Order: sequence, then structure tokens, then C-alpha cells
Amino acid sequence: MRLKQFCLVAAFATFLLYFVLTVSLAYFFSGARFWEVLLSERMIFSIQLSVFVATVAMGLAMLLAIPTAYALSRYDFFGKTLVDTVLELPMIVSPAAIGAMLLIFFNTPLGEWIQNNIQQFVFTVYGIVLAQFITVIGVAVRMVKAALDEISPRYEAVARTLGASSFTAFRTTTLPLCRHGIFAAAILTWSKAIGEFGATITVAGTMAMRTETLPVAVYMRLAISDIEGAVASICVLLLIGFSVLYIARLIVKRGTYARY
Amino acid sequence: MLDIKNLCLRADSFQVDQISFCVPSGGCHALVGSTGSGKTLVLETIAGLRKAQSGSICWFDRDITALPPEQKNLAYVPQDLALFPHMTVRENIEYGLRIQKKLSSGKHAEIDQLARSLGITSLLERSIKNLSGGERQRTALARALAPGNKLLLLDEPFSALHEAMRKELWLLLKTLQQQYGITILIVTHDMEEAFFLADSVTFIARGSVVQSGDKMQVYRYPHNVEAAKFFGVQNLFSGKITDISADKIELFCSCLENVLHAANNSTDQLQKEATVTVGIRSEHIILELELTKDVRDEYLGANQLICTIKNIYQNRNSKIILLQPIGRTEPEFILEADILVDQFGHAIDLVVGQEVSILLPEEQLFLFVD
Repeated sequence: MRLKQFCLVAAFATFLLYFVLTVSLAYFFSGARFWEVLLSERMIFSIQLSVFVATVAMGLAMLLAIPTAYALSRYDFFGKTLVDTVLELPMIVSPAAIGAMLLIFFNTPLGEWIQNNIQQFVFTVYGIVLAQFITVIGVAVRMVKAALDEISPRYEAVARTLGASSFTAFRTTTLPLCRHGIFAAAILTWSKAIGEFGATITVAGTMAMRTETLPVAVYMRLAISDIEGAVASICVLLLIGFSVLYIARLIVKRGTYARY
Repeated sequence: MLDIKNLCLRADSFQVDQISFCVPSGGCHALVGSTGSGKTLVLETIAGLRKAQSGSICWFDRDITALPPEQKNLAYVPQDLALFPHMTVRENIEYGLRIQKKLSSGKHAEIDQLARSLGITSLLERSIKNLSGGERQRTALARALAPGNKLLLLDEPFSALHEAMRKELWLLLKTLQQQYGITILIVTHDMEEAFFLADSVTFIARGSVVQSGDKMQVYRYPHNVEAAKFFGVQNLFSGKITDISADKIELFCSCLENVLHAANNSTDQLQKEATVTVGIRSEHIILELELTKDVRDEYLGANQLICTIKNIYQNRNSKIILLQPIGRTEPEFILEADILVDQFGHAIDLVVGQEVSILLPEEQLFLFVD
């Protein structure tokens, strides 16, 4: 078998795997039940909560990811490799473990002080935001760094010799040049956040109409054997997820200025 | 005047040491050297893109060593030009003025004038993506000069262009230099470019200045073998001094199995029995006569050798001839001669394998102490 044929078969097999999983939802899909679940107060709350917390988590992650990625991409500093490695934490530790780590932290004196004097996180919406933020920040940094690495630092260097401060040089050259990459990173971070389950359930629990995000809703419906309700929730999640990913792909496809 | 004194800097494990040179106001100075010699590092340090470990950079008696690039008031064109691809040609040129909030209607007229001088008026509204190599160079020059800074730093800006375009831009750069009174510091490894554009040169090797001064002085009197190689002394071989007089040095060159006489104008302290490297430019080797068997055994004068032509390469206006001295002991020893073609395009009829007599004029021999 030639390499091309082998790779095409592998690609088709991968597609088939996800396609069969998605199509199998149809076995338990009920149109009437879908609309009933979709228009229920509980589902609308779940959608609103999921979109809201994922957006906040993504926003916070991007705020921190851009300067972090810039530091990793542009500067050599003591402990750079360590920082770079630690950012892989969400990828090597399961989300449930990250949630557990957060719970453990909030049981330390410092964590308890934060809970008592600044903000209650455990079993609250803030906890969901924190869990999602911690889970997605590593991915956000990785993606923004990849976008920054594609842009030559020479643009900023020249901008500075033309009178721009270091921040102005970044704002007027590198930032617009990698805006597609940063936007794609933001959308993928958001989609990862909206699908986050393990850390969310560990930190915020499963409280209907309080901390019930869409993935938690799927779990809660399965727990009471409401398969059709779970399928409806999965369909909503898929619809939102695929929509944002499709937009991200379109943006990335529009290309970057890296080749210049 | 740009005055660089004892500039030292480090980039990873590479060290640039004690770089000093001056560029008079309105002059052009070339930093030359092989790839990896550290010349770009020096230019980037002057531009403020790297930190100097010690030493000083003064521009008209103002110490700009520690200033960030935006406060140095100089123009810089990197090797890759780094034109901003998300802007039009006009936006690129206006960038410096716009950032410094100096873009007035008067400045618009100045930019139009600058664009006219560089021949890019018709390109102003075009995207950078659609420019040719020469147009990109002109745009980069316009962008660097638009803010009105009088010190222009160029890092091999024409290296990616074909010869005709390169020479056209050299002329344009000289015109701009006179028109705007610019002082230019150019980094290049192209000898022709350095000699066309610059008044003086500094030759850098392995992070240190080997030689600096007037371009013709440096060309005529390279200080060491490294400088000689860089400035086009292709034939280098070792010799041992057998006799020294006030005006002449006698050497035995084992590779030629011959005695050579050289004019004693070396600045190095030469001593009898010292081993030296002898050098001669290929264009200074004189092909004297076509040998026949009858004359082979006849008397050959001082610095004359009989050689076999090993190969002939046609250059644009000369022939490069590789010569192997007859009777030499080193099997791979080859001399390179450069024979000018006359104005009608003819050169002496030479063929590979032919035996010829060559003369190494004593006043054209360089001697470097090993």
C-alpha cells in the first residue's frame, strides 16, 4: 500500500469513528423530546450558563495567554523551559485531577482565606469559571505562541527604530499580523471551555439551575437514565461546538502574514 | 559624526570585542567581513536592538549607547527589509511619522517628494504583497528616511537583488545621500558594493576589527592573511626569508621550488629565516610568453616561473587561468591568474595543458608574518 493510500484510509477511519458516534445519537433521538428539552427552563439556563462561563474563562485565559505566549516566544529568561513545561499540566493531568487540585487548594489556609475574604469558589459559578480557566489557559498559551512564532520579531525591531515604543510596536505590527491566529486561539479556547466537564463537576458539583453547564447536564440526565434528554443536550453541545470550530477553520483558512 | 569606541557585546557564546571606528558626517562607511563575523551584531547594537556590554556609540557628540531604539533617531533597513505586510506602501512610509504624531500636510508633501526621488510614486497605494524586489528595497529606504533621521544603517539591503537592480539602487542611494545629507553605515560582504558605496571600510573577523580605514588603503595594504583573502588576494603560499636588504626581501618558496624577490615595504617586522605567507592578486600575475621546448631550458629571470595551464574559466571581462608550476613539490598547488580581455573581447589564445611563463612582480607581492 502506498503512503498516500495508507494515509487516506487512516483519515477516513478517523472520520468514520466520530461519524458513527454522532450518527448513533439518532437511535435515541426524539424530535418531540428534543424540543421539549431544548425549550425547558433548565436547558435554557444550562446554555446561558455554559456560554457565559466559557466566554469569561476564555477572556481571562486570553488576557493572560497573550503576554505569557509573547514572553515565551520572544525572550530568553531563567526558568523558561520550566514555565513551558508546567503549561502542559492541563494536558498531562486529567481535568478531574485539576478540579481535585483546586478543591485541595481551597482547603489549605491560603485557599480558605481566599474563600472567606475574597470570593467563594467551591460549588459556585465562580468555581466553574476558575476550573475552566485553569483547564484552558495552557492550550490558549500554546496556540497564541504558535501564532506569534510565525511572525518575525524584525517587524517590531524596525517599528522601534521608527520611533514606536515596545508596546506600540507590538500593537501596530505583531498584533495585527497574528490577529487571525489569536482569534482562532480564542475560539478554540472557548470551545474547549464550553465542553469542559471533569474540573467543573469536581469544583462546582451538580446542582440543577445553579452549576449545571451543558456537559454536566448530559451527565445528570444520564444519571437518571433520561437517555433522550441526554441526547438532546449532546445535540445542543455539538451544534454549538461545531459552529464555533467551523468559524475558526474559516478564519485560519483566510491565512496569516507569516510568509512575509 | 558617528563615533564607535571600544564596543563590546555578546550574543549567546559569540563575543564581539573592542570595535572602534568613525563615520564622518555625510560619509558612507562599510562594515565588511565574512558571514558570522559579527558585523550585523554591531549594526543591531548601534540601532539599539541589542545591548552593548561596554564601549560607547556617539552621534554628533550625543552618547546614544544606552538609549532604546525609538530614542536614537536613526534610520534602519534590515536585510529582510521587514516591510509591514498589512499596510500599503504609503502606510509603510508614513509609519514613523504617524507613530511620532508628526504627520502634517507639510510632511505629506515631503513624503511625496521622497517617493518621487525613489521612483515609487505610482506604488504608494499598492499593497506590499504585490511589489517586486527592487520596489520593496525602495519602499524600505523611503520608510527609513521619511522621519528625517540623518544616520542610515543598512544591513546587506541589496543582497537579494540581481546585479543590474543592485547597481541601480547603489546609484540611487548615492544620490539620496547627497540630496538629504545622510550619513550611511552599511553592512555587506560584497566587496564591489562596499567599494562603490563607501568612503572607508572596517573589516571584521571573528568579532574583532582586523583593519579599518580608507577603502583603497585597506584594499592595497591588507594587514594579515585573513584581510588579504577577503580583499581578493587569491594566491597565498608560504615562504622563508633568506635575505633582507633595505629595499628588497629574498624568499625561498618550497611550493614553487623557487626563489622570489619582494619589495621591502611590509609594515611587519620581518627577520631573516622567518616563515611568512606570500600573497599576490590574480590580476597582478603577468603571463609573459608562450613556451616552446626550445626556450624551456633557457634562463628565467627573477620571479619568473614556468607553469602548465590546468584550466581556463571565462569571466565577463577576463579569463581566470589556473596554473600549476612545473617542478613544484605540492601536488595540489595551483596559482590563479586573471587575464583581462581587450576591448574587442579578445584575450591571448590559451589552451589547457599549454606551458607558459609567468612573472610575479616583486612590488605586487604581499608578505605576512605567520
